Amino acid sequence: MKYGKQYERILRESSFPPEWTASAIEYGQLKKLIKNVVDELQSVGLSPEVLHELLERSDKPPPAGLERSTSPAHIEEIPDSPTSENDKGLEGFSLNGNAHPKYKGRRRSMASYEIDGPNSENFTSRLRLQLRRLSSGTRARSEQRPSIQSVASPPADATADTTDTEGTTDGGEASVPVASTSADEAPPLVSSSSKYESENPLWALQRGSGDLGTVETTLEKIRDMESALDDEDEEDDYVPQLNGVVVADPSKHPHGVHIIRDAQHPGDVVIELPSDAMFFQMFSQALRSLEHLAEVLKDQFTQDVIELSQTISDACRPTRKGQHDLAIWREIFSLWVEAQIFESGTERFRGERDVEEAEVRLKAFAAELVKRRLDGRRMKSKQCKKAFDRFMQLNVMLLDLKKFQKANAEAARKILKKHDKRTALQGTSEYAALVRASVPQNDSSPLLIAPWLTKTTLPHVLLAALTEKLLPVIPQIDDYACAICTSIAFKPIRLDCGHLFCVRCLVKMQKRGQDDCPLCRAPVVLKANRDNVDWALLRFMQEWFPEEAKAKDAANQKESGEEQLEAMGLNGKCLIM
Amino acid sequence: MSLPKRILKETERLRNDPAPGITAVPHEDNVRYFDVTVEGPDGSPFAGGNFHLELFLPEEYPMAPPKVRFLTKIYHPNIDKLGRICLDILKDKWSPALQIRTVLLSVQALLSSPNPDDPLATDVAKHYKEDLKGAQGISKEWTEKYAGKD
Repeated sequence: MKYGKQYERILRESSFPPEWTASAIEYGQLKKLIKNVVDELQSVGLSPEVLHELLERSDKPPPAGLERSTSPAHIEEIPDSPTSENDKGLEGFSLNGNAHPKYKGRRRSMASYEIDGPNSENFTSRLRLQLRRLSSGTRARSEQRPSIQSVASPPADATADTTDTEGTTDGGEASVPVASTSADEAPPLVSSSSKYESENPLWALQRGSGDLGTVETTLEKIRDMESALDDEDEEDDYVPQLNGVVVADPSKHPHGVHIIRDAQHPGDVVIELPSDAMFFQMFSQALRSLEHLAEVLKDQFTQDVIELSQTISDACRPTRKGQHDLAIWREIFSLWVEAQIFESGTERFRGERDVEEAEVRLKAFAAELVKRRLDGRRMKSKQCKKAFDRFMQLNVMLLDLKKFQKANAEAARKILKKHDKRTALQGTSEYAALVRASVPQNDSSPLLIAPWLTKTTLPHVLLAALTEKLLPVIPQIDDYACAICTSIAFKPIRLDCGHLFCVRCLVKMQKRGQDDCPLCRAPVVLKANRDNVDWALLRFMQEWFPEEAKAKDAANQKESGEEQLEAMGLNGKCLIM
Repeated sequence: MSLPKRILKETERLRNDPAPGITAVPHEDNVRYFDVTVEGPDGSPFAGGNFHLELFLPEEYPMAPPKVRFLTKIYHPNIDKLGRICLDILKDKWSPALQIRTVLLSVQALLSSPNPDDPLATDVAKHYKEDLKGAQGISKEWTEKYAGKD
């Protein structure tokens, strides 16, 4: 089934609250926009095949680690301000694997695709065609620069198709207006629309791909055209510059595509892609609304958990009245922790479970509660019964949220993949780089699309809230266990090093002459005595774990009695005789 | 004497949440006796090997350490021909807070970092000290020969 349909069905058939579905990614609309992008590109002759060929060539060679990285590991290397672009230029091309992901692809080569802007809300999308710069005006300049990248291009281009001007030209150039750039160096271009009609290399490309069949020949043709264009450039007037880019033709292309000349990179033709920008803006919008939803849900959930914790801790005191429900809750929590419904904590597999597994486990957990008659029916206080329902609701909500997140993350991934496939533009990596560069790397990273971008997900954050706030309300015996016998550490002895064990185990150690604390090896066991009894903890244990404390005390005495008999040379068998 | 609760707990956890590369299964007729396998750690000459060991919990456990022995032949300076292991926590550095799991993890770690200065198999230790590469080569050979996956 097509994912679009599947996605719609998931949203429709799951019992998601309306505000969730309202924030979901609009897969269908995004898909329509992709079609517009394709049309737009077709209008200038850039079919996916041609474009693919162009981009492939320019994107080579990305050695394994050098591909425009989608791994978050590179995040910290992204400069926040555009001013660092100048420094980055050279560093970025050092091919050492630490290059800025966004600049890596920006070699001076055939074609590159850029999504650029100050942040992920405000950006443009464009295609840069790097035409061979062999005209007299630019050649000399090119040759002065170190040739860094030559592997990527056909050999014929080796001299011209070399460097990144951002990095090698004097620092000021990028920011100064065009007027200060002398004409023979970097001639900005103004062309009338009629010139484009006849000489636009893209028209040529379109014709070329039809007439000659291969991209290679088409490009040759474009290069010729470009040289001709350059000669004329020098007579042209300067035009105001926008963001370092000179608008060559103020009137829009009939199909909405903007064709622009880059003042800093003579020889480049930049094609603005409004539909493509619209696609990513809409996508961004969807991410933002999901992010907003995530924030709202997080606050709400945390509030719910706090209230729930309060209710349970009020109703389940270790008093005669609360004792009964307290025991039930303790068992529920213990089973819940053991069930590892949403995340696994085992050593072989740690991390979030997928939706299906979580669903199975949640059902099994609920069934177990019913089986053990722990499902609230046996609870005495009304608040506790209510709290139990709330607790289960929160679990179900977490599961729904996981489903919702998975559907959205899939939708995001698939729509970007579709975009890339249909248009041949590498939108996924470009967009990811833009988002990374603009999102401050803190906890505000998109939580609902997370697996696509970061590792923290909303269900994970919410689960943590549940675990951290709710569970400690009911003390669990594991937190008061002796590290040696693993039963409740009763009576509790606090050694001078601060570690806690039960009296019985320490007596055994003393008898064997073992002096080192089992946990820190401090020589404190032999000198422990009555003063080391932790009386406050002893009373706490008697209050919160009366049964367990009593049972342990009895077991201790029995064992100690047996040992005394043994020491006297007697044992059970002898007594019977 | 009945089986201490602690041993039951440890056995259960070893079954439900085994440490990576380690298994320990108690014998049906003697729950204090465990069949153990330890995978050779990656990056060591023992990588790819599956080593069999036996582990026995004496009556005094956890006050006294478990007895552990390699059953698979292994070329390691701290493990002798009989499979006996020279590891401080199995002797004087034993702590009753250690467990079967932690002991086996230590054994696995010992495979990663042999200590020829405190040898049990003196000839192997000598070899390791004089010609590390060559000794590791033998360790690797033995791993392939004796510790292949069954």
